[in-house]
Amino acid sequence: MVQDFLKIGFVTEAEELLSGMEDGLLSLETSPDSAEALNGIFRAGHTIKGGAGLLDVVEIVAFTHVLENVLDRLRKKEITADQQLVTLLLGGCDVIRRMVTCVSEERPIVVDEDYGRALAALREYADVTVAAVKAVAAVEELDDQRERVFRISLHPREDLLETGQDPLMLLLELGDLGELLAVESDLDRLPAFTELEAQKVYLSWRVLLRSQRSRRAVEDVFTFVSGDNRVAIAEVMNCEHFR
Amino acid sequence: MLHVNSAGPQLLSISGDATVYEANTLYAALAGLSLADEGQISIDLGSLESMDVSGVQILVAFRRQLGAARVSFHNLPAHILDTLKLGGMDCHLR
Repeated sequence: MVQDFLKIGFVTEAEELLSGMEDGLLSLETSPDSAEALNGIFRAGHTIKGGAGLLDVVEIVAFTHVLENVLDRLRKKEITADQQLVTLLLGGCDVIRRMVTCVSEERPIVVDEDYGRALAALREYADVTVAAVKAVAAVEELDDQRERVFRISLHPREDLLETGQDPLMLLLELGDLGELLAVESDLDRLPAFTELEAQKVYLSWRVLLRSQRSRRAVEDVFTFVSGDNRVAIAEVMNCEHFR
Repeated sequence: MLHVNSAGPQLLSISGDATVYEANTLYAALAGLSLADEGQISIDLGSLESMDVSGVQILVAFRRQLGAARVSFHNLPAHILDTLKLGGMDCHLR
């Protein structure tokens, strides 16, 4: 009952917010620096993400998280709302609207090519911010550059790919922190072909990472896949034999 | 765009993107194949443009279904092999 109430509220609010976002984005075509419009669009995206989070609609959360990141960069004037970006953001609103409709109609959300393309294109605009965050973290760690070896295990939830996340991207980010000494993928959970659900993730990973970065930096790689994804990070106390 | 072509009862080629966005297409194509009951099956991956975890899982499960010794993968492009190595998955498609 509570869940139904939340769902109805979320759908109604999200539809209104999406319309407001689209109006705001269209206004950027004539006033690309309008702080009022940019703040309104950002708040709308943030509210939709929060509502989706309450309902555990991970596909919307994952998508709006990246969208929100781009909108935040716009607000901070790190990027400009040119025609290409406005078109991309409007397309993002369409993707979110389709997902909200699925929630409304109690249909499973289909993560299709439109979703993937829009998410990938938005990440192009969000990446610099991620890099900037990493740069700040790197500066904060300058006083502690001892070498560490981390043993990391990742057991993703089965719908990880469907939420727009990719385990390989996580491993790539880990690699950016240092040297991947070993990466093993485990097929134990892979079902028979006839039982396989094609978009699910069944593999799990064990990783050895040598890095001068802190444990927190390693944990940050998994920030957006926490929750039901099982991630274990342990620092190998004696890493002499990994040198 | 993903394509699965059967050049004969024991020759397959997969081209395009073997990613989560095409996973259902790849799965359905492999599930719908009429393959010989016996003999080696050779799968040419030379025209693959991209592959992610879902593509690897489908191919590995397909090979297990038919019998690991019967199915061999060939011509995996270098850029995909590099990606799979990063994820410790290259060993599964040897």
